[in-house]
Amino acid sequence: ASHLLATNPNAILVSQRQKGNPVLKHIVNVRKEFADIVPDYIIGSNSCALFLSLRYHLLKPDYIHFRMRELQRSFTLRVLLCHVDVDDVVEPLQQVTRAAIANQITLVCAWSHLECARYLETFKAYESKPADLIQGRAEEDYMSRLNAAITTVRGINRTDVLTLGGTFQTAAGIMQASMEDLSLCPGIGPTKIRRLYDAFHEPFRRAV
Amino acid sequence: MAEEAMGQLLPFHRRMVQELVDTDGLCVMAAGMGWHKVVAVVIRLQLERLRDPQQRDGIATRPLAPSELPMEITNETPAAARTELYQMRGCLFVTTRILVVDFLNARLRGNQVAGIVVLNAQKVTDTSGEGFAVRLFRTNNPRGFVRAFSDNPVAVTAGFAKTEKIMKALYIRRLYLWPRWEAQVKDVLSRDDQDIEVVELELEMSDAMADIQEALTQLLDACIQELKKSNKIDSTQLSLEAGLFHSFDDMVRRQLDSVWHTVSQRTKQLVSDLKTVRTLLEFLLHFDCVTFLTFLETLRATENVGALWLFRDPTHTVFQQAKRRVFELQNKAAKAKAAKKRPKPDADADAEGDNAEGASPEKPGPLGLVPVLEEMPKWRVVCDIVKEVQQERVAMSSKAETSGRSDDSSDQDGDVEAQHLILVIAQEARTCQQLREVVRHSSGRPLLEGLYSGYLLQRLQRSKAGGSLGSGRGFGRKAYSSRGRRGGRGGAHMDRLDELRAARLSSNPAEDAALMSQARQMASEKDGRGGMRGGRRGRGRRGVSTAQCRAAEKGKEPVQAEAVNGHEQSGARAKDNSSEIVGGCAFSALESHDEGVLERLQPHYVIMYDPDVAFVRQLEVYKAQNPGIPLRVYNLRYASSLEADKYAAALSREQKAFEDLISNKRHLVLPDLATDLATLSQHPSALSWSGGTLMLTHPGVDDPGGLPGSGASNAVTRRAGGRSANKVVMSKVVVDVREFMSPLPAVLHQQGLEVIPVTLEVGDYILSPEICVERKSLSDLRQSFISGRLYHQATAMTKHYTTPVLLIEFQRDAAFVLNAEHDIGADIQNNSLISKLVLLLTHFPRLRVIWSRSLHATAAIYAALKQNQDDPDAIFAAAVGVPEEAGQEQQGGANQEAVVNTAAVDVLRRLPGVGEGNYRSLMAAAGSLAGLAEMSLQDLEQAAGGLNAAKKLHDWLHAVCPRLP
Repeated sequence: ASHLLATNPNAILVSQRQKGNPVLKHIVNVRKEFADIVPDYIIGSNSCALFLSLRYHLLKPDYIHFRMRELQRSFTLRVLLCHVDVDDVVEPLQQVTRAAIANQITLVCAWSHLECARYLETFKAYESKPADLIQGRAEEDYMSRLNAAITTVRGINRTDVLTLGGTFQTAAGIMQASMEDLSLCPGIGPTKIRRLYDAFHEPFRRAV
Repeated sequence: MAEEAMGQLLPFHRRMVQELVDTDGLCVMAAGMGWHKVVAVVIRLQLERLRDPQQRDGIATRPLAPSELPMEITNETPAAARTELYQMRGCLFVTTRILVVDFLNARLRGNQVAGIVVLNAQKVTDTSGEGFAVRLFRTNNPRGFVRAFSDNPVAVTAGFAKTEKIMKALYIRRLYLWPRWEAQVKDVLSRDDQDIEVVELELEMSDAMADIQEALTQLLDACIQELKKSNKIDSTQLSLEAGLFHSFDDMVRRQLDSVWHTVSQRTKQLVSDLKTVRTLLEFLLHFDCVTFLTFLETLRATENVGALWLFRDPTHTVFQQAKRRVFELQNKAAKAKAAKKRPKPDADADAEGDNAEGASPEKPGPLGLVPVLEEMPKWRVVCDIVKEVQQERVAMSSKAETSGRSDDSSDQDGDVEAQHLILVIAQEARTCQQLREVVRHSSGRPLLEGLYSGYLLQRLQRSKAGGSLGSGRGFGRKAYSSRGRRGGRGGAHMDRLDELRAARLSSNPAEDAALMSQARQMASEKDGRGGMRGGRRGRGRRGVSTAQCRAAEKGKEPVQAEAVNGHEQSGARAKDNSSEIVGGCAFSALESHDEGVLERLQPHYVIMYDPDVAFVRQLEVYKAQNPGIPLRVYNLRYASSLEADKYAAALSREQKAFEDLISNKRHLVLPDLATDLATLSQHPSALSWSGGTLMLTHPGVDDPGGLPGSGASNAVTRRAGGRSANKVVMSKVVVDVREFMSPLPAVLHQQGLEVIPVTLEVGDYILSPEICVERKSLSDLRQSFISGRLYHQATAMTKHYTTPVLLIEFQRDAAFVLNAEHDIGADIQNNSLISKLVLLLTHFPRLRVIWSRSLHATAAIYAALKQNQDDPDAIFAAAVGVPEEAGQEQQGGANQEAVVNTAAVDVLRRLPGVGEGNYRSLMAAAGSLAGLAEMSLQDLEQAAGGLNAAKKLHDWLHAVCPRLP
């Protein structure tokens, strides 16, 4: 895309076609520039987005297929940003989902213009951000670690973790606690105890 | 003799059995009326039918011998063993998930099964495991029986046309109702000669308890008033009375669920506060003073900063009074005096009141700590009753001796005790354990002393461990409720609020120091004197903080490598508990659901520590069946507490539920069973048996419609979507066996897809050799972003499949919205769901997303995606992502299921020193988390592949948990 060289690399490029889309006025955290481009938005050096309102889709079901075909495979990440603005979504959303998967496009649903804009902004802003945020790296300090580990068991909250820590002193102690010992912890009912006990004492994996 | 009596059915039980055996149906009975007896006989009759029909009636009166008990099949039972068991034609207990999987895998066929007995029928829906299993069974066997039971009438009537839905899902058409006030039941249970001697004991709560209850009730009321202000809730249902009973949380949640995204943060907080306060109200009556205080403090350390209840006036009272029940802060002189004043534990209760007023809190000077340790009022009463009964026993045994009638001449106390057993019934196992200690010592003091020293030691250890946090702040946040602050009251409201917030983060040094010094003293005493005192203390601690002792003795107890089936074990434990008899007392917890306890122990005296409707009925049934055994019931109740109200409310709710059921029964709208079953066998998902695989036969498009209650329109849509009519199509979806916990596989099956259960390493649903789907509900989605699980799953899916898909599943009754508009905020936030989703999609550009409105929408999309795609290969799918060594082990049995402890794996992966590279080898070496905790540093080094990681993990596992600042 050589014609893009002249444009600002830190801005979202917006197709002329999108002029008048109410989403635009909500794009405030990232710069935007109009440009002559095939997709509706270019939101990264190798990513782009198409915009579709479900209401529009109901009127012109062929439109999105045409746009997808036109787009071809020229970007690594192709997003279909779908504004869910109808009440009965099942049928149209199913059509859109099917089309998106068939054309190898990632579908993103948003329920308001603000949310649509926020997705576009975030894609641009996070363009080269590492994935740390979603890799579950717990914070380093002891309690965060303990919380992160034990609250993985369904239904266990931070109060319970503190109770467990207080009763059994160490993480190893918690893991080795017998059912009877666990049942002595105040505020942790039989269901939670069962889950905790199973998590700690059932083998990780067993072929049956 | 006792054996015979046990099996004797009461007339109304006999009638229940008769009804069900004559015509399939759903039997709803009042709680505690002995469903297990009826079920046992129903099963027994079925077993006997296989042998000799003439014997039936004789057998109905006999209980099942242990050897005749049905085998249990769970996910622990190997597949081959299951197939064998199914061939035996006996009676089997099968968990629904396994039953569904085996029906689908054709390990078991419907026509091999005579019938299904469904317990807890209130949980059945057409997509639940039970519903799915019955459907699969009925498809191949329209003549078999289905008999369903529920002893929870309230749950059976909760929700729109719930009863009809349950009956439809089970393909039964009869409803049998057995309220407690049914004529036959009344005849039997309320006979005049049925003389249960009931002693109602109403006791007063201690002043502190009453204050706390009052304060908590005020808090509850305040929360409700606040909640009313939010316009999202139908406030007519919100009242303090309603707030005191169980259904309240559900009710509020149900009202808010559909609009949850539009509810303000404050309202959400209020809902959670309501729950907290209600829990505290319950704990006040269940927990002893030390435990209650510990819980309060833990709660305060972990509650959200936004928690509104923490900053209200009544909360002040709660904390203050809770503390006053445990210890008091006094200056040294007063302390010495007080110490003299209380030589005997018995004097405590009385002395406490005086001290509270006598000690002037404002007085300066060195402060000391005086343990108050208020006993639970009920404890004293339990001890008194036990004493009284023991005296009666002595009188009885001497009478027996003098009359010379005693056949067992060696009549000892033990025998009398065993014959005239006292059964103590409490809600929680924990309470039972404590009561046992109390009865053993005839006083609650040793128990409380043990708990109190545990409480102090815990602080000491924590402050040591948390040295880096500053020893003074070790257990701060207490100043809020301390006396010293009292002077500050009455200031401007805002100032006070600020002060309170500040107080939460700092501490009261005087109280702090006093506690610490006492803790140190306690610790040194414990170290120094191993003699008499140590012995006594040790004994006190044994029953109390066994947990701590165990933790200290870790390693002595061999960890069970092969974990026992949890249910069995808890059952066994419950029996252990109740069989340990102290002073002629057995203890049983309601929460262990040990319904046979009365029959087993045959007590002559029952102490109801916590009132419970179901247990009262159990007593009635027990008495009716054993008219010869004298029975005296002591009913303990706090005057002016919520217990009595709760009891009455539970009764009236049940009554109302039955009235509803009775009036509904007259106009139940259900399709004729024959047509219903005919539809079932015509339905697209009807299976025809052919050469070892399951085949799907699709009828023409003009088929009159799908299954009742299912999304028929979707089925039609899908079929209209280009499928040719009358063509035999194999449309398979490979589904991870763990997914059978969710209703989606049932819906997929309803919609005509063939569902193949397999243990999958990668993905939840495999639609084709190319398409792999990971299903996430909204809460799963949030959780797995936090844990990093989704990132790993996306990595694995992208590695092995051309089209990896993330399915975001919304609940049909909740709003179809990911982010509420007012939650989006003005700028990009790192931890918003939008940002995380964007990161995920940026890092996995090949990942596709399905946003599904409902289960049926998911099924429709799956079907659409499968068009023009090959069917997946189950064996191949199961092998995907399994590391090579493991893969070789499993070869030839890829269709095998493995039991994976997902929770444990998740915990493991979040431990320090554990990463992608070594978690598998750690899993193999440790076996389980308990095993991991036991491993030595050397072993860990080998398993973790490096000293660094091993040391990190080992140190962390054995570090002492600090107290939160």
